[in-house]
Amino acid sequence: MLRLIWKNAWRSRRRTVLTILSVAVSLFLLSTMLCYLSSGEQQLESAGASLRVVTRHQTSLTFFLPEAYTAKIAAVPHVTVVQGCVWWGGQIKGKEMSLFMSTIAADLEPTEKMWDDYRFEPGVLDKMRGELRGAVIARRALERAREQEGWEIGKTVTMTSPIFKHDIELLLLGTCEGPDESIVLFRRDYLEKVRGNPGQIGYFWARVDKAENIPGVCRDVDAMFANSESETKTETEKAFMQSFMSMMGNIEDLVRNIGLAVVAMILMVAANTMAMVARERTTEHAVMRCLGFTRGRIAVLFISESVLISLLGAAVGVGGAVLLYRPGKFDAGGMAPFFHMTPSTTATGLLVALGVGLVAGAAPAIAAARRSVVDGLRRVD
Amino acid sequence: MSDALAEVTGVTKDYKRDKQSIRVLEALSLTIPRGDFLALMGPSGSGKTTLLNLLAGIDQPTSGKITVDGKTITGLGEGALAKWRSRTTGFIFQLYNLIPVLTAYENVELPLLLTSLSRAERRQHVMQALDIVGLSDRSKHFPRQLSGGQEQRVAIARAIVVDPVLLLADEPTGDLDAKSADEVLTLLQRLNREFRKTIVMVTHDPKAAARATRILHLEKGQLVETAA
Amino acid sequence: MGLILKYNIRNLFVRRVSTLMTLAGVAMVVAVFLVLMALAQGILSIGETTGDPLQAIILQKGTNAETSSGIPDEAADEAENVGMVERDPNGPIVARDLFIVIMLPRPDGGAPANLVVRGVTGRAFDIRPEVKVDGGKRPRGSDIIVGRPLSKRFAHLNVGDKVHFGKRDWNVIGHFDADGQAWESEVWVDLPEIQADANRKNTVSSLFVRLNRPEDLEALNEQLEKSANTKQLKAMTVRDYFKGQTGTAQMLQVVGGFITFLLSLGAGLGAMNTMYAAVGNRAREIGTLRALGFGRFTILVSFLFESALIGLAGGALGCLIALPVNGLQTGTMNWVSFTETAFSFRITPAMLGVGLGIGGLVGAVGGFLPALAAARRPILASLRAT
Repeated sequence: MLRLIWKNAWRSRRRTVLTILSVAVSLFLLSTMLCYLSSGEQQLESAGASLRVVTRHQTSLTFFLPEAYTAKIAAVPHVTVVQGCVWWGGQIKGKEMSLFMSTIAADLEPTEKMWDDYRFEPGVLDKMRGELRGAVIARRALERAREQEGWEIGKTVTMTSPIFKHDIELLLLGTCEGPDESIVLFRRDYLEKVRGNPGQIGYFWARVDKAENIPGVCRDVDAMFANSESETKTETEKAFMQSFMSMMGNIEDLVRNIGLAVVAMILMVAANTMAMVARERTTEHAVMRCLGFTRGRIAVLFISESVLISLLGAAVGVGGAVLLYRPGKFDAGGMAPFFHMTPSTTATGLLVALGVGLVAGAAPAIAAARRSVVDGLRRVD
Repeated sequence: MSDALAEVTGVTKDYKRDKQSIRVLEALSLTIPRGDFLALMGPSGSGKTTLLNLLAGIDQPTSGKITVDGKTITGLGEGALAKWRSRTTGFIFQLYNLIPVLTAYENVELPLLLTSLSRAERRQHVMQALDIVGLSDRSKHFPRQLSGGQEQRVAIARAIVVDPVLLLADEPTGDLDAKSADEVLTLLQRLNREFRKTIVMVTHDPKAAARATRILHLEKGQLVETAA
Repeated sequence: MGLILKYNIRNLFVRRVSTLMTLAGVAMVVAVFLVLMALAQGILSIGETTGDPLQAIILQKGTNAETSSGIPDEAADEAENVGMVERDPNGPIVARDLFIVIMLPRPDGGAPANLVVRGVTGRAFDIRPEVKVDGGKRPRGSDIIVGRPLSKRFAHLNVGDKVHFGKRDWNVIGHFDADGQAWESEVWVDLPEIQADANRKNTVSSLFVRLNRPEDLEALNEQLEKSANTKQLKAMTVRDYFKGQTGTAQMLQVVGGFITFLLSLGAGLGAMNTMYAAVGNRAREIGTLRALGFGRFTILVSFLFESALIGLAGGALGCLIALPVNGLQTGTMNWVSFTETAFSFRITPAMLGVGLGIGGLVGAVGGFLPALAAARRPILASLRAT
């Protein structure tokens, strides 16, 4: 039975190859889009497990909070450590669009405790203590900047910001690895020195002792600063990230709709092939019925062939995506750390192929099953 | 030799099949006079259809020379040969080979597209050809709306519409019932007598061959002398 | 050659199912292409239409965005009088704007996003006649006006709503349109009120002026250089300024190109299948045409045409599918100010032309090998085919 299906599928070798290739290319594209969607979800998921909360100015991130809030937030029950940060948004001078890194000026001391999900090169944080302009850079970000700009550990680099008018000069001291692979971390006191405007914090990271205490901490922090000169908004790392994603617009919906169009296209190509096959085999199917094959059996044979072809397409297309989009390979230099094929995206791709195969084979199979034996034998075209 | 329309001189034709060479025609020579209605007979594999294809310029001999109406067609290039075909020959197939999506009128008009005739002139030629085959009233019909005999007559109209000097018919009645076959043969005879068309017809049906003015037998790629 | 074309077209109808499925596949490609390009075009058109060629923006040196620019009143006063800009009986027309970023929730309760609040004076309306407020209202005190597209993208921005940002509640008294220009993505507030609220007294972000002549830009910058107060300022055209903020569009074009290329490949392979089948089924017809004297080139062109026609029809269908998104409102992040820009999908006639072209090209490229095979097949082989 299987051998018959396999042999049937390869009777018109060229057509089968073309169909497989077409399905493969489209499924590769679909896999790419699924990767994009799932990388966003995973990013949120990983943030969801975080014990960190963010406190920012109630109006927006562009308003600063006083440095004095550090101690006040630290005093809130269940808060274990607080870190004041300023988002610098680093770009390389003269190449503003080409190389973007999330460059952050942060209080140095709480770094190790706050970023326990990052692995810092041993001793690098100690070195930063002795170097005002010292910075630590994510390993992937360094790799990318090395390729494009020749960055190396030990070099001093100049960065510019879309937000601040001064440039900064950072001495790269070492690397780190963690969820955000586009990060560059430098000392907030250096930024203050550059700007000559001390005491201003963009946002605070606060670590909470247990997950169940997070809502309480958020409430307490905001309540403490209500009706003050600078009101705050405290939220989980996940919510903080969501608002960034929200600003990207409805890109995810767009990607989903395009994905549907891609699936529709695969279906058209596969169904067209199977309709051609059915037309050619009209007489043959009638002969098989004469030999005692039931309608159902012929339909199963036919649909299996269709499924086989689309699964072969999936093997090439989804398989290619699995090979190509390996963890850490296509992460846009660390900006999309989760852009790789996961078991669930792979399964989705295969399921789509299975569905396409079933649907593409079903319509001609049903039509063929309905046709009477005599009719099938009579048709010559 | 002014009344010799076609001259076949020492023509040999080999076909390659699975690396083996098969000789279909062997040093065959033949003269077809102008106004001849020649029936080619012979068992299958005797090379009669091959000879017809060579005369029609849709196949080339391995060696030898073929001249039609004073023009040597052996060795002509692809394009020149196509052009020659469109002017000189009319081909009638066993299975009619009408284009299913074109009407009878359009099928007949097809060869005229290769000429520089105006639309009105083409119309005149097509209607005349259809008139000769007796199907003027079927001009708007599609092939599937015609009977086999009618289809073959449309095919004949298509073959004569450019007024070629040589008509080639490959088993023109092979797929027809007796009555239709008779009509088609009568038509061919009329084209031969009234319009002085030279016709070469391949057939295995002695009754059809009897309508020709001359019968030649082929066997194993060579002509076999028989009484006319 | 009309008859040959008729021959091809009629054959498309004969194998309806195959034609339709191939066509629909191509339509998907073209529709996806158009939607992505319409998105990019929507963003680009903000940069292309905002302001007019004579409008200039004056910012603090060293910044390329209003977000990070600060101009003290003394510098602004002086800059206002350097000349070379359009005047009216009240003096030079100079709009002093304060650019603030706030965060508001979505109407459906989704994660909040940033948007622009612009503190304006009456001059803002003089220099931007395209801004038309319902009932001609002006922001004053706690009364604010809102770009119409924003009301659907953020909560509390409908007329009559109270919205909280900064230190207090504000009343939305009207919506405004601005011919699709960047202003439509902004909330406009009375300048002194927002200066006080945001602790930005005696400072603005930018000055907007209209030059007398395009060449005056250079002269204006030279004038600004001359005084210690205005030395820290620079002027550029508003067009250039907003064009620099359409990076998302370029990214979309690249991504859209990549997606279109892969999809075209998929659809082209499908078309190839269809055309190989067509060529195979009609082998005897091809042989007949050749026997009648039609050349190989005619056969090649004829089948190429047939295939391209499927593609073109698919392209046309794709255009029809994509057209409804034209004018649809959406928003995206402006990567310079990190605020949301509202814009609408924009499909231009040129894009439709390119879409049709892609369709035709997919058909023609997919049909090329089959057409070549048809043309190259020996006559006898074709005639013998069943």
